[in-house]
Amino acid sequence: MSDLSSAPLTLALPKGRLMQQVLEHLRRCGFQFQISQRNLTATDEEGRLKLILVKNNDLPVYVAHGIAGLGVCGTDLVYESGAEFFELHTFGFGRTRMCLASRADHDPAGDHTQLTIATKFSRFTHDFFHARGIPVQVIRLNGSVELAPVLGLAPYIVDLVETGSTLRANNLKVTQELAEIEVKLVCNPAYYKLQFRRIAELVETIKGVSET
Amino acid sequence: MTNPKRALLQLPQGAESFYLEDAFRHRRLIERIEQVVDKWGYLPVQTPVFDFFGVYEDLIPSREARSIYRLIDREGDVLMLRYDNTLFLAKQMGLMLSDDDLPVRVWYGDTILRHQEAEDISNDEFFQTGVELIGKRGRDADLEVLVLLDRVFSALGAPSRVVHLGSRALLQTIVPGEAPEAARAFRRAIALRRHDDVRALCRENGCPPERSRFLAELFAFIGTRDELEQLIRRADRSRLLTTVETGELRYIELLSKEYEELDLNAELRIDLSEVGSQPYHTGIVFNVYMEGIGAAIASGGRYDNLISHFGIDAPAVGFSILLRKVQEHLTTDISAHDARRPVRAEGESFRERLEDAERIRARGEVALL
Repeated sequence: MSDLSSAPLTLALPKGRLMQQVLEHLRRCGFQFQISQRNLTATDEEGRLKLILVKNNDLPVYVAHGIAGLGVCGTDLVYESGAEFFELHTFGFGRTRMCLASRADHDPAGDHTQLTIATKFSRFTHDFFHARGIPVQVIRLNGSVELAPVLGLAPYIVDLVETGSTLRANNLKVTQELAEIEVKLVCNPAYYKLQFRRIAELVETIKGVSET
Repeated sequence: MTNPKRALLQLPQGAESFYLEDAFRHRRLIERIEQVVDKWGYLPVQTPVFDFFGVYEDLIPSREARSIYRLIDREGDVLMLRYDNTLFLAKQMGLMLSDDDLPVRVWYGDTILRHQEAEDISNDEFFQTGVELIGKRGRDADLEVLVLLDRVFSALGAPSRVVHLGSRALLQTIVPGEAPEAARAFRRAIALRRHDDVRALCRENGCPPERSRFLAELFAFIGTRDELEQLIRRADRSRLLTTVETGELRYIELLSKEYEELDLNAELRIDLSEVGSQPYHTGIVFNVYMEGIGAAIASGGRYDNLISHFGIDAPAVGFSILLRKVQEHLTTDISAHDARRPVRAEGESFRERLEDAERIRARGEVALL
């Protein structure tokens, strides 16, 4: 029994800092890529793995549609996409926290029964508070979420927090840590079924090499 | 500013339509399916477009229930639009069949209607065609459906496909049907290959640690009969499976062996992570995957207790094909322009042109007046 295709496995990577960390890990696993600034795809020198470089937010879409069979992505974006993937490996790098934050001088005693929260992560925010019976009004933003409490759009934000320096710079504080966010190697379920032996080998290789 | 009437001329999210060449090809594919299933003794059935929601409420997973279009009729009853052909068909068959009618073979090809969010990427499908063999248990019935599935896909020209065969029955021996919540959690963890979650659920269900580890490994299994045999022998040596559980695995092995001996077009893999997506599955379950398509193109399985929910106690097994998903990947040469290039009828008068057209049509060609 063999996998149906011998074409390179396809892996979507998010452009940016995370891509560099994944590429470095893949290099230690024996995959060598030549990527120039304008290239959006690249295949390793032995033709085993084809990279597709996409915007972070778009990555789950490409994997869900099977355009890329595999992807490296934060659990925040996977959740937000609503897609269900096989999670094959958790990387040691890129960990962060999803937090509820407010102005440093915000007094929660003045909160109404319904919290107003500005966020990029509207699905997560809605589901998190809904599951706990807390009514929320979610205002969806696409960036610079920290501005919302400062300018009075919403008293709360839900956003990723690494060091907290951006929050402090805007006179905000973490009110509650909502979830740990990890970077995962995800796979389209149908793609996995077709290529399961080669994917299992790739995962073993990735797991077998230290990330430090 | 956009004219509001023009905005309404767009199709709402989730609605689907296809025209001309696309519709021609779609209809021809349905005809091909009909030609195959007709020779196997399957009769066409048509399910209603809407029905009472309450009848099906307990049979639909809550996650999927969110995508159902519901409406209230003039008497205040909650109705639902056809969301799954098998469910609607089961009710009709349960109410109209008697023991004397069994077994019954039916096929359908119909639109289903499900809500999609604006940014949905779930790839929902809106046309299901499939078969149900009602009133037959056992290996011959299961094999009949698997072979018919292969024949249908061969007639459609579906290349490089593979059948992944699993067992809901195996899971049911470990989590009996009386615990639907636990069963749902198991199904989800297994289907998403979350081995740690499967192991933890086994522990919660009272399995000792070694058996829990083994079951997590078992439900992640994809491979050949020989590889499964090695796993069963290991379980036997350490007494990790009950006789009933081993029996279910032996059944899958046997079915796989007989399928292989029939020399069919699609490869069959034993995949114990296939446990069926619907609560009503009971025996074998399977999905079909095809190169280049990011979701299963067909799925099916046995559901021995569904029809009795509505009336007669009749076992059943069947499959449904997501035809729109697979349509553009088929190698079948069906084209309205190439295969049926119309010929213009000639003549001075309408009568002459009509007579010429009839002569052309008698030759099997397409004539335009």
